[in-house]
Amino acid sequence: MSKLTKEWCLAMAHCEKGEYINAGSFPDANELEQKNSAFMNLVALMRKKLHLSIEKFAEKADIDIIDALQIEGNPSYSPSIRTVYNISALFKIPNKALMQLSGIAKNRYYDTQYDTLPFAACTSGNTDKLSREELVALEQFVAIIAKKTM
Amino acid sequence: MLKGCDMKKKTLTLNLTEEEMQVLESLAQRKEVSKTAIIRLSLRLYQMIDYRLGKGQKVFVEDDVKQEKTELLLI
Amino acid sequence: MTCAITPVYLLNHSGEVKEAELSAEISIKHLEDWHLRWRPFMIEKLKEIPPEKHPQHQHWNWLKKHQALDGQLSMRSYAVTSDNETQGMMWVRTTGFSQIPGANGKPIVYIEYIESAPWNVCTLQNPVKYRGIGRILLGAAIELSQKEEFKGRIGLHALSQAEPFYHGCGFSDLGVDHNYHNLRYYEMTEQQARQFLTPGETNV
Repeated sequence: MSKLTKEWCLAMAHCEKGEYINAGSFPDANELEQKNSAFMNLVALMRKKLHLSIEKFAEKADIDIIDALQIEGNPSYSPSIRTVYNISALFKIPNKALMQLSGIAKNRYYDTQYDTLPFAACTSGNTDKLSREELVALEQFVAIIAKKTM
Repeated sequence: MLKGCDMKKKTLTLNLTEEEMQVLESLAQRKEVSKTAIIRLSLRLYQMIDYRLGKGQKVFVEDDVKQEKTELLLI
Repeated sequence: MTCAITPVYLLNHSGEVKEAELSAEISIKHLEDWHLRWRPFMIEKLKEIPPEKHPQHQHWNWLKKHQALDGQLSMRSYAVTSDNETQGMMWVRTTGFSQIPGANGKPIVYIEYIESAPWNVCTLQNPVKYRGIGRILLGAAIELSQKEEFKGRIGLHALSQAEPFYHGCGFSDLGVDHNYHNLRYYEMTEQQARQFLTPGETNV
């Protein structure tokens, strides 16, 4: 029988004042580093453009929801070839371009313009509309990478 | 008692040498846990090391006093 | 694989009792909440508070932790949810060794990571949304330790901002660990763990 009874929980809650409780190592500053920033941001922005929640995006791309979360939230995550292929099909972006952006294929055509894609991976809400600026930047970006891989 | 994931337990019969059994009993006594607990802990530690080695990492043992570090070699 | 859900209780900012759930596994829903609710909230709040008050754990990435830790026998995770929203998460390792002198390196449950949602931290939101999450997660770690035959022994390295919390919970302070990011190391003995779970009882 668990000792975490209602009485116990409430007695403990009264002791807490909203302090920090964090235990664990000091994180690397690069735990959130945007190693694959262009790929992460592209996926996040395209998902927003299509008004897809993460669940819907995973369903439509036929990928695991944990993969979908990892792509947007974990900079060191490496998607599988199948995952990238399915995402490129959903977003109608050349497969070769996404393979390069995701790091699966060597990116011989890296352009510093890739860095101009607005940071989107951590915007609040799930399916917020893209701003006009985000939409323009996204469309320009997609045009660049499509052209580079023709 | 809080339960973890709902996992069915399986039974395994172990054949150990006398020396291994002595080590197992000694560890269980010193750590004040059952022999089963020692076996389970050993399995977890082995998996942890195997996981690290599988990622190409190395495992070291460090002697703070002598300031020495030795690689744990698992061949 | 189904995981145990234990009903627990929190207090909200008005002192009202709120029903919550303690899950014996961090699930996709909890990771979603971290990614879509915790992080955006934290990022917005960081703009409002001076840098010296920024959370030391602001760069923690629970997705990355999940990727690294999930699937290992020695690792277990927990989450507290209320109002269909994740309020706290924790990863523990069941292969820790006590550092208390004379304890013969007895096995302990070691808390690898523990965090409460940012709206439950008074530096980021005052008044906080819920109280009680930290102690519930510690209670879960102690009960796991008892189940593992470790008699409730737990240990952790606290980020310095969290040191007052662990002092208040009755841990033994074993000092700064120079081998581990100079973080202060805390342990609960069997007696302290028993006292934590049954406060007010006379423990022999």
